[in-house]
Amino acid sequence: MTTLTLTQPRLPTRGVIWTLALAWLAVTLLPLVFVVFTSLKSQQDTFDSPVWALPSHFDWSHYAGILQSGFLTYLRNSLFVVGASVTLILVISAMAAYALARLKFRFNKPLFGLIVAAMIVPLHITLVPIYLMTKGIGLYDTPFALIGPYVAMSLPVSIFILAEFMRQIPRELEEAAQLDGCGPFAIFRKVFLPLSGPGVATVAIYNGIHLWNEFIFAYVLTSSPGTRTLPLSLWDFQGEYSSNIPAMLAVVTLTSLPLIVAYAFGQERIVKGMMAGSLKG
Amino acid sequence: MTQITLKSVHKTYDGGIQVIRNVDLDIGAGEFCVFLGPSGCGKSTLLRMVAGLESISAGDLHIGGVRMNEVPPAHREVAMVFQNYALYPHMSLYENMAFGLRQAKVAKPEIDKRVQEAARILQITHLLDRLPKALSGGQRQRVAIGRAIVRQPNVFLFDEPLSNLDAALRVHMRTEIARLHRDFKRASTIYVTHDQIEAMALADKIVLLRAGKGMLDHGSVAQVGSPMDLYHRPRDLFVAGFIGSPRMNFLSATVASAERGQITLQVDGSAGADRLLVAADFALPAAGSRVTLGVRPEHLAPGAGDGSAAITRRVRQVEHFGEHSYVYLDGAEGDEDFIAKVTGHSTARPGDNETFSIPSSACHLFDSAGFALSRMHA
Repeated sequence: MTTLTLTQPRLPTRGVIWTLALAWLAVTLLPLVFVVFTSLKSQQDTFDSPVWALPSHFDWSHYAGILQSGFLTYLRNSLFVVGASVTLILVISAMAAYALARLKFRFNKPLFGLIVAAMIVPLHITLVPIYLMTKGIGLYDTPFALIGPYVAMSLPVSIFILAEFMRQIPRELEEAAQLDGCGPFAIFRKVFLPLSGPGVATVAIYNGIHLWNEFIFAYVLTSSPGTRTLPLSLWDFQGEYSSNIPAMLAVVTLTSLPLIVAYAFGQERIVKGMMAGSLKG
Repeated sequence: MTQITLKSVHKTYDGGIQVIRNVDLDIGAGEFCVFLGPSGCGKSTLLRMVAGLESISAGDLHIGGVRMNEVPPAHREVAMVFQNYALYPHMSLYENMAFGLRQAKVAKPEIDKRVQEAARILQITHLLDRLPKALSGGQRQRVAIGRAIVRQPNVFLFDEPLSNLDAALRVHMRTEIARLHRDFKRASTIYVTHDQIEAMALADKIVLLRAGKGMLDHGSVAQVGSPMDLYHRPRDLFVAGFIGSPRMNFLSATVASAERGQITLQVDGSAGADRLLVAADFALPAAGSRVTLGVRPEHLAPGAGDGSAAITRRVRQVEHFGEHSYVYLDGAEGDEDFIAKVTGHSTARPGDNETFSIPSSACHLFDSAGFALSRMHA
């Protein structure tokens, strides 16, 4: 009879792991704590107290000021651009991933290779051509200007992640659906899409975070405050509050808040999605 | 009632690898046909070709008299039960069974009637709201069968449906499948297995397929016939060796003399000690020709009998199974072990010399090319 034992790391090893984990937690958490606490200090408090001191009292006035001075417009633009982009990314990448993972057609593998290779193209070299194209079709300085580039830059990694998910779905399910009378589109819609739920969620969260923080395309393709997204709010508020550090950090806090919430709820799927490409079932 | 006909069917994959060669086959309406064969013989591929999941490289497939080569799977009136069940994990059992009918736009009350009826037959009514992950292997297999039943197909296709179940459940499900086939007699059934016990227990007709060089030389089909046909009248050495467990014993021999009803064989390596007289009416081989004598372990009788056809060998090992025992005897030089199936009370022990007689009525003779010499009066 064999016994299965789960090997626990030895005590010194566990000590090292805990130390490193706590150090990493400090590295990631302390800046966040600093930002939140400083944003709640009064300006006077910021200058008088040490950098890491807690606020003498919670001053919410910066938040109120920011919310009244156009922040909600940035938020609305971000929600629109990211929402529309992620929806399009999910629809296109899921369909492409299914075709590349399961349909037999000529040049399937080279095409998949080409799409994966697109992940290594530095995005910044596409800035100028995209700027010129956006100007050319009259979308410059509108929220719509961002959707096309966002979708295009996110598709390769999204297709890669979803294709890996779909490859792991047993072929017999596809064949059973064929026998049940489904064509390729029905198989995709009724079998593959529901079964790729975790992959689709991963792609949505991953791209949502990435696009929420995207700065350079938003900076180049929009110019007026009414069309700009949240990452640019920092840029714009910087001029307004150049000497008001708590106000600046209140903007940072408000900008990060949706992401922190998203990560808190979806971290398991995000991590699973990161692993999807690296582990083959 | 649907007949299935395959005419000169071939399957060659890209790159020229041939897996099915020249299959001619008629499966009668309502017949239970089992594709049997070793790994890699293409039995699942042949089944999938009937289902429409694999293309047919050459030849014709007719179902109910209609050529089906290019007809999509859903329009072939077939239903398939997969080895790993292939239940949709995100759908309840009810939805799994109803899915094909919904695709075919069957009216809702009719779908409900058929699903409930299939669930009743398979005794899974109380599970219909569950997801497949909440079921045991046997229950999943029932749902997979239920999914096939509700479609009321003309042909049932089973691809090794019991191989993922434990031994006891396998026997139980085997009898269930046999019962279902009797109840749905209008449908023909093709059943793929590598387990000859399943094949013998279920089949009206067994199609034994071969792989490798045998397939390339002689075609995929080694023999078609009823289970008893294949057991008692194997066409060649491959069939004789494949059907039966433990496999048939083979002795290489030279024909010493051959007269009508009496063939004397000199068994290789025995220097006159094993001169066997086969008193059966075989097609006569020429004196001096090489033959192979085949005898099944269960047909060897302990003792020398009348002494005309007996072999004596050293016992290498004995396996007791209660009801019966297997006695492994040293084979002739270069031959495999010789196995005798004896009663559970056998007193044979390793190292002993034991004598077994070979009844002429149970002998099989194969010519030098490996084909059976036919009996004049079978």
